[in-house]
Amino acid sequence: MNVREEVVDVLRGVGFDAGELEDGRHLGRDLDIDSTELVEIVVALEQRFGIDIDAEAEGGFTTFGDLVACVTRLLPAVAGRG
Amino acid sequence: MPGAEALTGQVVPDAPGVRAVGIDVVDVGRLRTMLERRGQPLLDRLLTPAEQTLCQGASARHRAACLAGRVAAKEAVRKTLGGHGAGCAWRDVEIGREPSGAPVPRLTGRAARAFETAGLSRLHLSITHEAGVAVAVAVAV
Repeated sequence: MNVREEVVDVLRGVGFDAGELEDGRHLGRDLDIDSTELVEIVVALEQRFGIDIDAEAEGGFTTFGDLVACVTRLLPAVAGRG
Repeated sequence: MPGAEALTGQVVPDAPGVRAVGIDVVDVGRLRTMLERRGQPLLDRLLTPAEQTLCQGASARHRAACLAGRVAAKEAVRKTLGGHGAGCAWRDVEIGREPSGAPVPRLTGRAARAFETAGLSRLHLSITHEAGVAVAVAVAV
């Protein structure tokens, strides 16, 4: 499972369908994610990947692709994740 | 030339008044479910230790409403900061309580800088709970 698939898996865990999670989908307009839901997703990503996502990054998330990019950036290079 | 300017010969500064309004609503049950799923890490990201203490000691139902009210209030305050508030952490806005029970916003970090940059001088805040939701309104002057 690569990073993107794992992020999709995390969001499925909070109620999203994998089919609606495309990189260009806007978190607010397309996925109806509000600030409270976003903070839960951020914590879920931190717990899943063992990373720390700071408030500045959280405030900069606009699309689903931004979540994937942030996790990818923060993850150390680990074999088996691509 | 506007009347006041004509009288004084100088540009009159903007009259003090409402500069920004923020409103937010939080579903108490939804927040409680999120906190049950994520536990202390989510609580620690949303609320300062003082806020967590403030909401302790009550019944589980009251505690959930208290937490939801604080989360709604933080978001309402952040909305008054507009674009200046980008990147503000949840904990940069702390919602305390006066002896009278009135909520008191305290800004630190990026929120405090945003408040200053936006040229705001004071915040007024009100929180209410009803029918499973917490609603907060913030007014910045």
